[in-house]
Amino acid sequence: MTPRLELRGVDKRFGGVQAVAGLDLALAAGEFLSLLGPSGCGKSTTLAMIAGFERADAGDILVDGAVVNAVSPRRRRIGLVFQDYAVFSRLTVRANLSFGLEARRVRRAERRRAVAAMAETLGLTDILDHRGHGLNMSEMQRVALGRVLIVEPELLLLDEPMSNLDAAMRADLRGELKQIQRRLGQSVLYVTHDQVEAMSMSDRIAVMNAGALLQVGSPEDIYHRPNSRFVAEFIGDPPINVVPCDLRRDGAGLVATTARHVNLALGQGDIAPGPHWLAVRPHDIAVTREVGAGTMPGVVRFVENIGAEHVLHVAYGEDLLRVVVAPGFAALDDTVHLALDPARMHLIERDSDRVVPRDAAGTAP
Amino acid sequence: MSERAHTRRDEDGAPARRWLPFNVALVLPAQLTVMAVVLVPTLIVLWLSITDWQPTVGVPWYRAEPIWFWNFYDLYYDERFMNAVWRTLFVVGVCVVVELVLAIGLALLFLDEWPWRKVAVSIVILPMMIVPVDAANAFFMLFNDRGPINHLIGAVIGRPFEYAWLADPSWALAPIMLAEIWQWTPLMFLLVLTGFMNMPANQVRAAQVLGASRSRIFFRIMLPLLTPVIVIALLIRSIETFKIFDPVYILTRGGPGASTETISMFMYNGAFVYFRFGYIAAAALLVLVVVVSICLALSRPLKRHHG
Amino acid sequence: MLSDDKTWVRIFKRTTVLVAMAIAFFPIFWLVSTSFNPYDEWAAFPPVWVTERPTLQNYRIVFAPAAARAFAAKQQGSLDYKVSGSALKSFVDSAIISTTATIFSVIFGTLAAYSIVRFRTGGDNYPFQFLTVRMFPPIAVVVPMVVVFSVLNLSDTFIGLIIAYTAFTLPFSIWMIRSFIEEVPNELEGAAMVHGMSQLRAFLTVTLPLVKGGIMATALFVFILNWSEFLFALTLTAGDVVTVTVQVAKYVSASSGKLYGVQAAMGTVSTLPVILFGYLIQRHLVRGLTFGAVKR
Repeated sequence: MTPRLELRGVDKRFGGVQAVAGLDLALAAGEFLSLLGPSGCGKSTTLAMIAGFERADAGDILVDGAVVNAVSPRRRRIGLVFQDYAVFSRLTVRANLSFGLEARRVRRAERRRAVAAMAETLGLTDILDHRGHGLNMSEMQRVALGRVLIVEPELLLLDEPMSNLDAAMRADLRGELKQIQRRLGQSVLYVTHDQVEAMSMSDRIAVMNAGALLQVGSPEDIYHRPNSRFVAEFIGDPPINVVPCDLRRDGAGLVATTARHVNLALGQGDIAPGPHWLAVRPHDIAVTREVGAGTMPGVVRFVENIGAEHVLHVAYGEDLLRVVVAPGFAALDDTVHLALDPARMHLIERDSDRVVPRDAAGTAP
Repeated sequence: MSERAHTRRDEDGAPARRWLPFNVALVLPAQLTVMAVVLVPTLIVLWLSITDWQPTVGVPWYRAEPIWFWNFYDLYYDERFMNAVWRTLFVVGVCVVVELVLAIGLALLFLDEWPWRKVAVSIVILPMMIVPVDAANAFFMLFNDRGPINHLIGAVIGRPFEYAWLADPSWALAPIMLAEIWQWTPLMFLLVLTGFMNMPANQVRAAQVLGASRSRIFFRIMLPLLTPVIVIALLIRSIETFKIFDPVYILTRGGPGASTETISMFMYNGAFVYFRFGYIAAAALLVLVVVVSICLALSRPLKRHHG
Repeated sequence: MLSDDKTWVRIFKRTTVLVAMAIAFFPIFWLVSTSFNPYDEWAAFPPVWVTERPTLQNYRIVFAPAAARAFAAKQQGSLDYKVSGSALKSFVDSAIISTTATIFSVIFGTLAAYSIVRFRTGGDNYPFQFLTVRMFPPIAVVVPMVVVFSVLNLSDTFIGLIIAYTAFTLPFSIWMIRSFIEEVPNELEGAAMVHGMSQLRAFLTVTLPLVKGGIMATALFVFILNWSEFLFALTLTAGDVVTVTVQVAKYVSASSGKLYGVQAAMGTVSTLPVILFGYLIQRHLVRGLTFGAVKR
């Protein structure tokens, strides 16, 4: 099946800066794909190239199998919602919604019906006659969305549509957006820097940094099997713990030694010994008040109260590990005991920041 | 920031009032200069307009005999004056509209980037950086009956063309209006271009993505966004064009006859050629009252923009 | 912005731009070219577009009295031009008047603008009162001003014109400088005052350097207006004071406009300062001409 959208080896340079390098991406029909990355990673540039406002220096952009590099934005049949919404400030909400239909010369009766229906869906019926420049953020967002959805594009591009909204609105809209997408069956490319949004809404996530695509996979994959330090650190809240360690052979297996000289047997493996990073998620560290088998002691330096849970920052040698506990479990300066499970850890190569794949480390999947 | 006058405190801390609030003292020089040059002449106009004072008669101006409203009555029935009024309105209407249309058309050509764009802008705005009298001078030579314009027309129509533009009552207004349009379209162009540059680009892009044709984007999105700038441009250019004098003086002096006499030229001729100061003062008063009230009424958009 | 033009559209656009540039440049080209034309080519038909025998004679007539007199002597009978002096005086007079009026206008304008922005002196509508000055058709003001000047013995004097020019450029000064000062946040002066400076010193040491560029641009803008002014110079002077604009008019009227070469030379030189300054402040032209209402 031809993917709805495909990017092959796309490059883009601005002056001396390589904004996008060798990007390969495919979006299947009906899929919700998030393009996730920090500011400046090239995701907005990528979006601009897909929409047609920037020309790729190299590579191809294909929509439904056809190369569109040279096609003007108005002929690409793509829906785009800008980060600043770009609602037509001098037109009414009604005019905004019907704009795309007018451009397609849809008859008036049909237009009126479509506008009324879309307004109903997005809760805009009461403000249909308000002018664009008087709306609040949430209204603008819905108008921008409605204006694009009403022409039923097969590919929808959303550029950080929630970044101007507060947390409560975001939560609401996440659900609404997903419902609409599922109902209309559109393919969506959702650009964001918020990993919570990406994780909660996407079928697949593509993580980008510094112009390059680092990893593409389902939220599950990205979370449990990151392929690089950046991806591991970018996904997950609270962020993953990364501590330096030294890898050496001990008999038939590998042993990782951290600063506190705690040895962790990692099983068989073919990795070269030497300095590495060890990464483990806060949720994957078992915390007890008493000493147990293979536990290490640490002192609580900081308690983060995030409501239903507490995040403890535990000093462990020179490192500070974040762990998640129930509220009231421990207080400042208490000593707690941590148990690290080798099966839940990731080994990261120092130079390449690449996560060593499971089987090579010989640890249980 | 406090709106009250800035007061200094003297040694023991009690506020010492200077004899004039600081902030008022600051505006005084400007205010006084303006009042001297505007207020005093206006009062004199008020006085002169009810007399028929002519400096050539020998009576000092303050001892001229009042003829009350007869000046205004005469003005109303003065065909030459009325013609000057309509003619000026005609010139304003045509020039300002043509300038605006040309400016918008030109600005649209400058919306994208190309290597020599900056140079092009610099050349295109050259006319507005010429002393108006010199521009009029140049046009005087251009429209000479043996000048390049006629030469070009002759080349196009195939036979010699030695038309005396400035001597023909029906056409003499054309070089004047062309000079005005030539000189000030670049200003409108700059204003409109600035308006385009300040426009939220994403709204235009959003319209493109929705598949709108170029003309739809222009008329439904860009023009409405440009409206504030257009209004300011029209207002300012209309006021300035109404006062038009330099090209008229240099090119025709209002002639042949009075066929190109605008309001300013009419008043200049009346005062400095015919020396009818009292009569012209009445005309000046009329013009002052009408122009200033229209300006004040129309300048509300300007006020709204300065918030 | 609209960057999806096909090639032929692009060619058409660029060609139109070239045509516009040609139209913009042509009259100026004609002026400059004619200024180098020798006498016998002035009234030639067909007209000489670019002379093959360029001469500086016209410029000499404009600037050097001896050359002017020699020329007039040679023309006795054919052209009715009595050259009493050169046009050099007009350049000097214009320089004096324009510069002085500009200085006054900018200084008064800065003081007033500062007062208006930081103290809201006179309320919100006060600045608009200065705009009404620009709404007065100058001719309506000139008639009584001639009377006033003659009463005060200011006719045909430098001071008279300087005062008039200052008053009529104050709206521009005040509004332009006001818009520049408004761009400097209040807090900067506030911070200086917290350190013990008085309001005025804070302004002079903190804000003024930041608006220096804007004030310079305003000064050049006002200078251009003063240098180009014609009506007041024409009616309020009678020969003791001559500005370049009046001089140009003199050349035209004294010879029924037939002194082409000399007129062109005068025109070319008199417009040079304006072109120069105009390009220097190109960025600020829009702001100035719309009284600060429109900015880049």
